[in-house]
Amino acid sequence: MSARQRLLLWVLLMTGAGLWLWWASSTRLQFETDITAMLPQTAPDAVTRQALDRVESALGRQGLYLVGAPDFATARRAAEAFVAALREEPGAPTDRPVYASAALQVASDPAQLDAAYGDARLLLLSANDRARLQREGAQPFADAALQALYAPAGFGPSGLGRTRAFADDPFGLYGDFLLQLLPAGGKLAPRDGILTLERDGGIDVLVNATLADSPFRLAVQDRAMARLDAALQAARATAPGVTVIGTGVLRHAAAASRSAKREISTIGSLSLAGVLLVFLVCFRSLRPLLLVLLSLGAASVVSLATVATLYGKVHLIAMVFESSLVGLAVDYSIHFFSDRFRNDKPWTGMDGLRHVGVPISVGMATTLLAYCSFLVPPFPGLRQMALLSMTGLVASYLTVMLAYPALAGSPPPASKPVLALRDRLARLHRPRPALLGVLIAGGAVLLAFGLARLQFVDDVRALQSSPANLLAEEMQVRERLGGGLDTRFFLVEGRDAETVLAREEALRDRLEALRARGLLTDYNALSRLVPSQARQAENAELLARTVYADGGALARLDATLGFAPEHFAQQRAAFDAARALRITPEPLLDTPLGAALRPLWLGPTAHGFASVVTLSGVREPGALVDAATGLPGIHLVDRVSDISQVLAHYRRLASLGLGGALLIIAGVLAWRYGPRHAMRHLLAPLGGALLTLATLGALGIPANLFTVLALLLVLGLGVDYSVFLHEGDASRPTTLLAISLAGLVTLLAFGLLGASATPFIRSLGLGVLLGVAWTWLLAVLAAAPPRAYVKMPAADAGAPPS
Amino acid sequence: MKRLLLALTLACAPAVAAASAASASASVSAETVFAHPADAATIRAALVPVTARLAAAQSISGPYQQKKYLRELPRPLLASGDFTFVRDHGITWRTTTPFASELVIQRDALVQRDANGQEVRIDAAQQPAVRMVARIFFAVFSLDFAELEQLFALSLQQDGGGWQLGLQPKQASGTIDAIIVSGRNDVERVRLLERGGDRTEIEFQDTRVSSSAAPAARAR
Repeated sequence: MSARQRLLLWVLLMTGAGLWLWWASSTRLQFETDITAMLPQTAPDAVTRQALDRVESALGRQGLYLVGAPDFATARRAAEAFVAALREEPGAPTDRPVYASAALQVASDPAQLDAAYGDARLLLLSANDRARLQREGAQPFADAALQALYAPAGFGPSGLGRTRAFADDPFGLYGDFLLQLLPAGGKLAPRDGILTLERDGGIDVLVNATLADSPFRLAVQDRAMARLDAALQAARATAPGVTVIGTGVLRHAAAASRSAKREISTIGSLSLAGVLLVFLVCFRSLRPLLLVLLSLGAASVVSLATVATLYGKVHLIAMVFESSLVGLAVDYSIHFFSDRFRNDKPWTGMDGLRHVGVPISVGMATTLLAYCSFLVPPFPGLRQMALLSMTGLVASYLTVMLAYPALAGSPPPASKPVLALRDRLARLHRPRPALLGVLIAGGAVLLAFGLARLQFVDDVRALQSSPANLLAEEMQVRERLGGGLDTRFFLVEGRDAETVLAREEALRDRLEALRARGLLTDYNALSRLVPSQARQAENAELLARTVYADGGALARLDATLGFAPEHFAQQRAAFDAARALRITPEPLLDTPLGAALRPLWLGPTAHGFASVVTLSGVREPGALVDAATGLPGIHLVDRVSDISQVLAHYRRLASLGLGGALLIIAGVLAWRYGPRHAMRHLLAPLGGALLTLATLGALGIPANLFTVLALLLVLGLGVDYSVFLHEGDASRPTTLLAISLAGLVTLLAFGLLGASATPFIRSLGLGVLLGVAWTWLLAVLAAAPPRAYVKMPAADAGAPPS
Repeated sequence: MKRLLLALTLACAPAVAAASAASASASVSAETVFAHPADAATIRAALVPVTARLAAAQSISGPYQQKKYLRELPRPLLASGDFTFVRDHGITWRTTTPFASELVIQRDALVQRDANGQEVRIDAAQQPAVRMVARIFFAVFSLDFAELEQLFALSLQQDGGGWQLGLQPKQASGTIDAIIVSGRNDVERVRLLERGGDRTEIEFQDTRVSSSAAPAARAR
């Protein structure tokens, strides 16, 4: 194929890719920022997935803020200013506000609950009262009630606590039941109808702000954060000493995408600047510079178009990774143009193609092989990174192979400094045996020491990070509220709604025991508001046997106080009438409290019915596992631990893959170059990987799945180096120069990734950084001629033998 | 212990505190004092003789008698004992009949001891509601109108040398619909009108107001 035909083919391909991207970006390209979307799906079945979605969407959109001041009036004024600023959004359509609701948390109105329960309230028992009635009978309740009646101002154990007249709820059982429905375990006290939190030196007003859409959407983040910043300012401007602290996914998500965006631009532009600098210095001409930009452009267009088509959503973290792809995609261009430096004779693009075409084809094939291993784990984010990289590499490879020959023109021969560098590299030869021995011994010590100390940490929490100030603030809020919502929850399933409620109750009995032991602060479950029919019947039976028994505690108390005998008969009749009643979920779900619990109810599913029991303030995760054992239809969903286990699993799998890839590559090399050479070519990639791990171990940096994946990448590069050096043996100094330049650019790009704020990108970057450095060193050492053999082919460089 | 905790929280919990308008109006509207709303400054000016004495008081103490009227119960439940209020320390209620018990209310804690010496202590750190209960008690005892105005809608009725101060909670508290404090030179009677028709009346006689803090030790 002539250079012109190649160019024509390339133009056709790229026009197609451009149109494709234009179509894809206008119809479906979106950016994803949810870090969990990058992680593997761990839900074993559809119902668990539904539960996870529900928990994440219901709670992920919610933000809780504590607006504090020294006194209540100021705190309230500040909170109102805060809410007003959240709500007003200048210039935005009023029908689609970014905050679906933002308000001071209003204390709920018990009258609505009274109405919803009706006379059936007589059958309601709090967990504590139920246990106590079962254990000790009704007499302690009667004693406490009597004491309260004579206590000053009625202020005694059950005096002020009552919600109804004595005759209607003599033992305060209904009052106790209502009390356990209070938020935050009663830490929040209502004042003028809003929930407040008194603390030393001030008072906080609770503000609840719920987003209309997912906080992981970039558009939502921008709008919501702008409102939040204005609201924080407005609150603090009301009076000196006003503080606002809060929790919620929004700010973490916004911080993550902000740092990702920053990294895309800094890493992208710095590695591009590095590439341009290398090209300017080495090739001293505009044309290679423009051409490398062309190949990088082609790489971006093709890779984005592919991912947009396959996934629809491109993850921001994958974009961070892609911004360093520059460092890889540029390799082929460097090899191509470095060929110009073989000698001073006139050179055309077709010459370059003839010389480097085969090595870069073999190199690309092995690199693609290495990337294929990224596709194996079901890691959406990783697959995106691999796809971005593979398609980008193919595009830049095709640009070099198809467009460069026609467009390369005739760049000037090597400049003096480049020649000097090339000749210096060419004079490198194997160190003296003594020095070699020392180097090998040093390497061996590093390997032994580092590998022994190497640690693998697969905890997914180590792979996510938020700014320290946000985490500190969240801790503060959790402390004040007595423990925030846990990421773990229980999924309760059953064939019908009644079974689900009854199973929740069985679980709650165990959770109450954990609470009593201080292992759990609180939990939330619909059955707290709506007892199962079975539980209602049980309560009725228990109450009939204890409180309402003839001649029982209540009858005796009535007599002691001096009520007429008919009074107890009336109370008993009211209770007997209530026994025929049953509380059903519907009217209660319509109360404000019910509406807050509604997200926990998954309703009908593929297996029947399901609900979620959320937890807060978990002190001992092991106790949760025990709480679910032996109970049918209940299991603990612990996504963090599931993901960590998956990470560990794939880390082991990837390590096996690394070994497998080495074997395959060894096979390919042995087939092409013979076993002896293959061994030598393997020295760099294999030694590089081991030395990287050893270095991390020696530095005390834990390794993880992403380190292993970085090593897979390095394996591809290392084989490239060896292959280039072998295939380009005839022009060894030039090849050496080329791989050194390429290594330098890769080092630069991935070194920048090593500075990423996202821990797993950092692991990847650090792995590649160390890997490339070691691999390059080993490749050069392995390819260095013995000291005796230092004669250069005269045509190549004319470097004087040393 | 647990029940006391629950009771305290509930005392100030709106989740359970909504006074039903119907039952509230029946007992409260019968009281003419609520027809005379007034602000703190007016009331303070009108009650100068009483407030001046109380403002200087370091401690207030004396016997009390309590009558508790329950709906459907023909005669009231009687209790009596004595109390000591020490500014900045707290209030101690010692009940002697029908059985002995002691209740100490402090700004950040509440302690109850029964005849057997059994003690229940609740700190505001565990139960923020204790603070609210203490605020109400302290404000009523020292007639701190500025504080009272934050918690209640105030009203005042005077005739001859006597006065009636009406307090309606801005934030419904437990079953209390309204409080009426009445007296001449001292606070003589406090009536708590409760939801559902119950009510509590506490009468104070021979109240001693001291401007020295000597009995402070008694309000442990």
